[in-house]
Amino acid sequence: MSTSFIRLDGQPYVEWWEDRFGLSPATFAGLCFYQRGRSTVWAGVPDVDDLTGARVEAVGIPLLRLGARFWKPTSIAIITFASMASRNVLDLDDQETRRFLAGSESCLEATDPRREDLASGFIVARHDGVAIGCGEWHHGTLYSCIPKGKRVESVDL
Amino acid sequence: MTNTLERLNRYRELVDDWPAFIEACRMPLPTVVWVNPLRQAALLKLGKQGAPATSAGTDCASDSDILIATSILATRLEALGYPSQPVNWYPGALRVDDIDKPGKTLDFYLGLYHVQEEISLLPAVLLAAEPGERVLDLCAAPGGKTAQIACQMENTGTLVANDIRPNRLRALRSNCERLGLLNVVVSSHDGTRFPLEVGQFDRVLLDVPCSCEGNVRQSGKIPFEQAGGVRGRAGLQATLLGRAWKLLAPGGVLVYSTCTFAPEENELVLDYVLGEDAKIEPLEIEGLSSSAGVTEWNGRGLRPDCHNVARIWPHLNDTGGFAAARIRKRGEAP
Ligand SMILES: C[S@@+](CC[C@H](N)C(=O)[O-])C[C@H]1O[C@@H](n2cnc3c(N)ncnc32)[C@H](O)[C@@H]1O
Repeated sequence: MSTSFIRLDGQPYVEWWEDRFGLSPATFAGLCFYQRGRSTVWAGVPDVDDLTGARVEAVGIPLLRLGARFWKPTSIAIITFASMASRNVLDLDDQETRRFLAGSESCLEATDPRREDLASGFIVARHDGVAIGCGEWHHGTLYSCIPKGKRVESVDL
Repeated sequence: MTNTLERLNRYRELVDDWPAFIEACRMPLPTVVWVNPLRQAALLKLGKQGAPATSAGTDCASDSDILIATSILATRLEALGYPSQPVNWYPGALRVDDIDKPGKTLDFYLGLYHVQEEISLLPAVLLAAEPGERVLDLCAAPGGKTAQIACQMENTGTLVANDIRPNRLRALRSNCERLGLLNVVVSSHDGTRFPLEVGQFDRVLLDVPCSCEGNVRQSGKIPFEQAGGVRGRAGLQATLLGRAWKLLAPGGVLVYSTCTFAPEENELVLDYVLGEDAKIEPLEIEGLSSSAGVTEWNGRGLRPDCHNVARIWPHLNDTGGFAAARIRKRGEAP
């Protein structure tokens, strides 16, 4: 059986991370990019073309989901690559972090200075300087994009 | 428990200190966690914000970073009420007391550490994979050893992590993602028929399904009756080893491991499958005691290098039970 992971040119995805989060392309140096199914782009080191005959279920980690209107970064890619992001980053306090990890939203006061740097859409949620997942920012509210199965209730910080 | 101990009686001859062995089998197992070196930058960053005792983190990467990261993790776990002790034979590992849910911390969610039984850290150490290599982990789920190997390879090269069971594959994938393993390819073959056309590997880990007698400390009993006893799995183990051997490149290293005491699942499998082109190598791990493998069982003589199989009885290092062999394939690497 042949693999369903199709090798892609990574440049558009690397550029997307640079545009949205200010991440240097060097962040993704040495990685191969793959598409599996209609919407998921994966990033991993191995070249699956060197594994003829293997029934491949995953290569590295899922990086982005490609939608018709927007691309959505995965939380795991944010955690793995985006601690050094310089744009669309929101630093959360302990309480906001707990809510975020549990899958709940947080509203930021109209006067909160952190709002100034955020453009609507997907953002890097960060705690103590470390990326903790993908959030979605709209009209003063942060929504958690952590998938249901990965959420943690009342996490130990 | 009595029933279980009766069943362990068949190993009386093999154990140096029977009362100590029985005593150890009655004790619960400590929880062990190990620092993910692929995420140590995050730990070093967190350490800078934390207590002054852990502020030693520097910006240049070095071998001592893993030790600094480990002490930061220990400090962070302690702050949550979980004191720990370093595992002396494995840099980066900590024995953690009184932690009932080691997976409920932010640090676990972020993949800063993994939770694994202490003695099951051993096979990856014996495998000693290197950056850039092509490595196969044939029975990989849920992936603790896969993760160790991926880290040894410093997130480079190709590590194929294979398992047959769909629900265990899910756990494997989720661990690989959480720990940020970029060099792993997950595959879903029956290991006994893993396609040869994929080509040979520099190293192969074969951590076979077994009767799990060595987990007696986790469960308080031996689950081997359902599994068909110590002979029930030997056929599968031998077939897996035969396939794994074909997938190993000349000059390469294969590690065979089980969490069971039964010679039927360890030395006898090696004796049955391995030929002239195999050499079971002597093992020495600093800080870890083991006893020699058996070269005779029920009157049957086995290949002499079975002596080099490392048997880890629970009382030797206060761990679960385990057996492992490091086997070199003769010939020059291609
Ligand atoms: C001892 S466990 C492996 C533990 C794993 N190495 C780890 O460190 O997390 C044995 C594994 O072998 C798998 N297995 C059983 N039969 C198999 C087969 N025929 N081919 C491949 N994997 C198999 C089981 O699903 C199980 O996950």
